[in-house]
Parts: sequence; C-alpha cells; structure tokens
Amino acid sequence: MAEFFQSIRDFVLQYPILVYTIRIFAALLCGAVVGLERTKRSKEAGIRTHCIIACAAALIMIISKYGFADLLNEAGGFMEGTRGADPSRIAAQIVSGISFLGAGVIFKNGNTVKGLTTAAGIWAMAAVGMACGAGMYNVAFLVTALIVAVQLIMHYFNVGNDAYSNSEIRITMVDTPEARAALKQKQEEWGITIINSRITSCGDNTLNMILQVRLRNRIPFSEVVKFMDEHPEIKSLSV
Amino acid sequence: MPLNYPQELIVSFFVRILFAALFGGILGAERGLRFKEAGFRTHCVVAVTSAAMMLVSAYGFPHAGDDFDPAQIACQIVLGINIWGAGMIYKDETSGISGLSSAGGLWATCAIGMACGCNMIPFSAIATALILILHLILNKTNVDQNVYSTRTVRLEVVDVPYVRRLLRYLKQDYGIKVEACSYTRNEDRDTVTLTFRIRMKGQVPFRQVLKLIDTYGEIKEISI
Repeated sequence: MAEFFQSIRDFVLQYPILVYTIRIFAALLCGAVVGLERTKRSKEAGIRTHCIIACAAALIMIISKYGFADLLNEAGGFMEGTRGADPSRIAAQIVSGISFLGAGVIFKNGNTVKGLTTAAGIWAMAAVGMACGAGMYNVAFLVTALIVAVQLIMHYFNVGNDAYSNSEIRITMVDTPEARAALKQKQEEWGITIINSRITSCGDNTLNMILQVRLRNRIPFSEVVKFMDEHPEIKSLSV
Repeated sequence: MPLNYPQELIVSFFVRILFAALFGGILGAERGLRFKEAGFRTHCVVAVTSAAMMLVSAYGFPHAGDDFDPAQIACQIVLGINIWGAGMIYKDETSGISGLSSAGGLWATCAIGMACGCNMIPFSAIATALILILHLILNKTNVDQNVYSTRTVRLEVVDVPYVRRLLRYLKQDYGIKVEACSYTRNEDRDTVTLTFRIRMKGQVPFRQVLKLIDTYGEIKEISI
C-alpha cells in the first residue's frame, strides 16, 4: 500500500501542474469546512465566499512562487539574473489586500459593530489558502481544524459573552405601569441585556424606545404576536 | 530605447491575454446569468487587465538592470483589486451585507488573469474549472445558504393569527426563515402592519403574490 502511494506521489511530482491543482483543491476543501459552519448559522460570508477566497489566495501564492519561472537565466537559476527579484512579493499583498475586503464587511450600527468575526474569518481563510498554495498542508489543516473548533466551542459555551449577538429593538407604547412591567418581565424572560437606549416621549403619553441589545437567540415571530395580543397598550414592536 | 521582443514572445503575449479574456468571460457569464452585479464584461475586463499588468511587470523593463524585481507591479494588482472589491460590498440596515461573494469572485478572476499573464495557462484553466464547478454545485444544492437571499416582506392585515398560518405555508413551499419581525398597530384603519426580514430560496412569482391577495381578504397590502 505504501508503495502504491509512493508511486502516486512520484507521478504527481513529475508534473508541477498536478501539484498546483492539488494545492488549490486543498485550499478549496479548507474553505468548505470553515464556510459550512458559518453557513449553518446564516452568516453573511458562507461556504461560497470562504471557498473562493481560500482558492484565490492559494492561486496567487502559486503565481508568486512559480509564476516568473520563465524569466530564468541561461544557467537555469531561478530569477538569478535579477538580484532584486523576490518570489514572496505578490503573496505579501494578499495579507493587506484581503484586509480591505474585511474592512468593507464591518459596519457600524449605532454604538455597536457588526461583521468583525466575518472579517476575521475571511482573513484567516486567506492565510489558510496561502499555506495551501505554498504546499504547507499540515499547517493549513491544523489552522482549519482550530478555527472550526473555536467557532463551535464559542457558540455552545458562553465564553466571554461571545455567544451573544447584537441586535436592535424598537418599541412604541402607551406609557402605563402595566406596559412597563410587562416589558421588564419579557426582558428577563428573553435574556436581553440593554447596552444602549434612546427613549423619546412623543406627547399624549406615548413613548418611543430604540434599544441596542445583546441577546442569545432571536425572538421568534410567534412570541412577538403572543406578546402583542396580551398587551394592547404597546403599539409597535420590532425585533 | 526601443523594446525589441522576439516575435514568438509577442504572439505568446496575445495568446495569454486572449486566454485571460476567455477564462474571465466564463466565470463572468456564470455570475451574469444569475443576475449578480458584476457579470461577463466586468470579469472579462478584470482578467484581461491583470494579465496585461502581469506582462508589463515581467517584461516591461528589459533595461532595468540587476536590481530589478519583475513582481513589483504584479504584487500591487492583488492589493488594488481588493480595494475595488471593498467598494463592491454594500450594506443596508435591514438585509445586512451583500456583494461579498462577488468581491471574492472578482479577486479569484484577477488571480486567474495573472496566472494567464505569467504563462500558466493550463493551470489557469484548471483553476477556472474548479471555481466554476464550485459555483454550479452550490447553485444546485441546499448546502449553501447563499442560494437563500435576504429580503423584506411587508404585510398589512386585519387578522394576525391568519399570518401565522400563512408563514407556515410559505415555510413549506419556499423554505423561508424569519430573521426579524416588526408588529405595528394602525389604529386609524384597524389593521396591523407586519414587516419580516426573511431568508428565502429563489423568488416568489408575481402570480403567487397576486393569488395571495385574491384568496385572502385579510391581507390589505403586501410588498415583497
């Protein structure tokens, strides 16, 4: 069996194009694994984005390392005619380039920032793709496994409040003690932490509240309907 | 100083650029057919441009001397296209981020153009095929939530419990997932306005929307 694999290995190594193909395929695979976990949680960047970014990073890494091989000197030395030549130059720009894409993903919503983890995930995928492109499969697979493990662990165990997500709740209501008590009770029931609030009094005893909150799970539609049925003094609720 | 390239090299430049246009066009066509922002033309131009820049970088300075680095210009393609990609991403408060896969795809197209530019045409073809297959598989299967798109539905109804039934029906038929909702009473008209942010697969045909209005008198207004 070992001989069989050895013969495959020898065959592949004869053709650089096969080696390159295996590298981008490995990058694609890593992207799929990380992307699948993100996709399952309906994040903006899913399996497609992660795969493409890892694949493109591997592709650029290969171009950077081997793309200028036709500029060989007469003796066959790689880029030796030009002392300034640097095969890592193109690859270096992946790091700063992909960060621009990441910066585009992050957006501010009031006092909270969204998309940070998505941006970091994209950056990590570029790194994994680069490792695959350079042929460092073991590093790439280890990092992929670590990222997935961290995502899963952080989601199931609430380490440092990371399982909570930011959201906005808007309420318009007639200001009665009952309504306030009901809201307070629901806040506890739904496990909502209010970070930021803007409350406007609109005259004729109506309050308008915009709350930036952290909560663990989305409030389902049926809960909203049930709550609104019970409390007619609340005019509008959006979660 | 005139640049004297051998004839074969010039032919090779043309071939590389043409292949870049072909591969960029193939990837762009797939995007264009799915009504994405960047389609055939954009991808084609990006691939051709990156191939051309690659050629300029590697062959444009034959008199540059010993300290010359042929990757100097090429490396900035990678950076430049990402700034451009960041501009493609747009956000709005209700539906989050869109255009991320498009930006990533453009980056990949740029890399494929660069690979053509440095004469790795067969490898470039394989990479194009791989990305194309990825897109086609993900378009066909449910694995990717990206086949789901985020949209906002606004309903003005008389009877709220009815909407719960409607949602169940939509869930079965279109696999929708409610992400956020809003409930507002309109006291002057005695109706309720419900707004949902949903993730759904494909489109609700106009015919169906019309049928909803026809069949159920409870719905006063609907916008999808």
